Amino acid sequence: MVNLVTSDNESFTVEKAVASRSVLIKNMLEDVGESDQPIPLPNVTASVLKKVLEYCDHHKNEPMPTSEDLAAEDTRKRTTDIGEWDQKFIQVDQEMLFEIILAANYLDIKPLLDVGCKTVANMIKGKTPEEIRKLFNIVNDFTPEEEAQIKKENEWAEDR
Amino acid sequence: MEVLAPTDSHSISGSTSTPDPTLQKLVPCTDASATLINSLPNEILALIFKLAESAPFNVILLPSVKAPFNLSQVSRLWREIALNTPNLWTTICPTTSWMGSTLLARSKSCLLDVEFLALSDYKYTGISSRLIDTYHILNHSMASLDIPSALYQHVHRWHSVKLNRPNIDESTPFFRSPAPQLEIFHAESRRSWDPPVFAPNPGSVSYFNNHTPRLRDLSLTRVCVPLTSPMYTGLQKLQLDHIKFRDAPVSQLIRDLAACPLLEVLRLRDIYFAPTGATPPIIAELHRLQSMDLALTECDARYLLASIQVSAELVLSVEMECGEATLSIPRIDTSALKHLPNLARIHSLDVRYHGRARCCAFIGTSGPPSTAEILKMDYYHHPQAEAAQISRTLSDLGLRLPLSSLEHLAFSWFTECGVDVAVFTGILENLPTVISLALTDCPPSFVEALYVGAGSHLCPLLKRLCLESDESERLFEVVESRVNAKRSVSRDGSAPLFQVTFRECESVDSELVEKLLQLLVVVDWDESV
Repeated sequence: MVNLVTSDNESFTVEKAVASRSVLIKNMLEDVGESDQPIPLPNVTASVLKKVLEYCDHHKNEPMPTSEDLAAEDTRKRTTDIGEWDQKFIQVDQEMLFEIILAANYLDIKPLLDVGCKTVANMIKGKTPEEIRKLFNIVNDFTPEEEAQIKKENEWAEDR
Repeated sequence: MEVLAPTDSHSISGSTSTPDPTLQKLVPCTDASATLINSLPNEILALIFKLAESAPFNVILLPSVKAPFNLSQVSRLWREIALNTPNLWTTICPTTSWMGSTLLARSKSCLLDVEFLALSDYKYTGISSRLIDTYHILNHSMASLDIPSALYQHVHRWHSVKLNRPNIDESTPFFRSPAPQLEIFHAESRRSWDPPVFAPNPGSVSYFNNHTPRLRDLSLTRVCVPLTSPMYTGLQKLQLDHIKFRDAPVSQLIRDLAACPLLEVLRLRDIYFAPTGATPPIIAELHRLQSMDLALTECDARYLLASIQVSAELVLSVEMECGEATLSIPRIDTSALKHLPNLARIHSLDVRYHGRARCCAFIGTSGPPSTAEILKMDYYHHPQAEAAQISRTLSDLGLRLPLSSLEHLAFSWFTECGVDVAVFTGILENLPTVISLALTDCPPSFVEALYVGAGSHLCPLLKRLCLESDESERLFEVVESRVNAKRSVSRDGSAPLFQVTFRECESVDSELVEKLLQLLVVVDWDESV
């Protein structure tokens, strides 16, 4: 078993196979060898780690992505299809969604990072800039001059 | 992830000449950057932007709603990230000179995915009907615009090309430069073609000066690239559709396939070859082939099947257009199991005759726990020689297509097609492993052929017989003979010796069922049906 300690000082004891879905933790375990020492995760809160561990537990028996898989992903067009279980798992509010993405990035859990990024990508697809701003509460910080420049760039595609 | 400096002339923050990985510093900290999504690192936002690029099949999203165009108009931060991520701008479907040149500049040195599409087949989102008209005008006059010429100067960066044009030949002068990075080439001409009447040959064309050393995925529809072209070398996926190779026999294709040992998918539909000899020159070893889908003349299909060595994992689908001449047809015979080891995985076989379509179909599936379809063969017959062709087709079973693991066999709808019982018995003689036989709407002679008599014992392992809409006055004799044959070898006197299922058989009545039960036969019969 592995003991993980979150930024808000909560402890989680999990199977090694579950914790090792994180390449960061897997490498740490390999570095320290057999040890009861808790592993601090200063960038992850308890609520987020709980969700991350739920994901790791569900996928613990799946093969880890190889470097060849990752290299192949860079060269081919990727779909944003998400598995059924993963879709239900990632049905969370925006704050948790982005926290999961950040945690997956920090903990180096590539498949979870993928699920999070694909979810955001699917939210963006087919939307106008204004719709995207509304969706994510983004302020339009272009100056009027900049907006005019962008509008001119895309004038050919505008409906007149 | 590659993040380059904002050198694009459309960058709001102006041009700089050195890479700056901390792009967030380029924009002032406003409320926009305080939103939750902007807490993600820039490289993750860039990854999301790349994922957002893919659109549903057959849908073109216009810049107002298409990534990365829409993303680059959200905020200053998003614009800087988008403009400094060259691989976001690599899908080029040139419709205007602005779009083509902008994408070429923003993609910097990344490999390009180029699509020349006939927009008339696509749906539109975020666009008015007036703009659709504009798009059509632009598309139809594309060949004469200066966008393609700029694009062709970047052929060395092309990673994939999808060419879907009313007339491919008009475009070919633009495709004569070598394409050293090209991995995917899909070309479809819109010329009319109405098989089996041969349309004029679309003409043989040479793309990319025959220099595509990295090509792995080739798909040609109504576009004839000579089979001697080196484009057919080293492929993992080959799809040819509606092509007549006037000068090349199917043996030339076999030679090409032999040069593609990593081939995983082969699809040949409505392909016509020049006449060839009866003996395949070589065997193409295709051990990686997962799927083979053929719709060819009988001669070419049999030639191909006799000329390849595949793995046991292959899923094979074949449609044959049966011809009258048979002399030149190579036999898929005793060596077939060695060449097509996937046949040995077939556990169940369903043989059907569709009278209206004049089609005899074989559907072979694997055994439990999975019951995946391994073989599907459809033989289309000519009305003039139908009975002879059906007989030849059926004689493939067991003899030319050895099925060493077959346990369940079903025949359906052969009553009206005039097939001689000798053909049926010939099949069963070659399939001795069958333990379960189902006959639906078959001639009485099929049932009666199962009688065990002196010198005749078809399907010696048969345990179950299912009859549906089948009639025979000798039904009891047939079952009794099989039970007696079993009794002579069975040491367990308590086990049922045979199982029979009757569905919609008018000649079956309660008296017959009672007699069968006395033979220790398990009978499944619903009198009310």
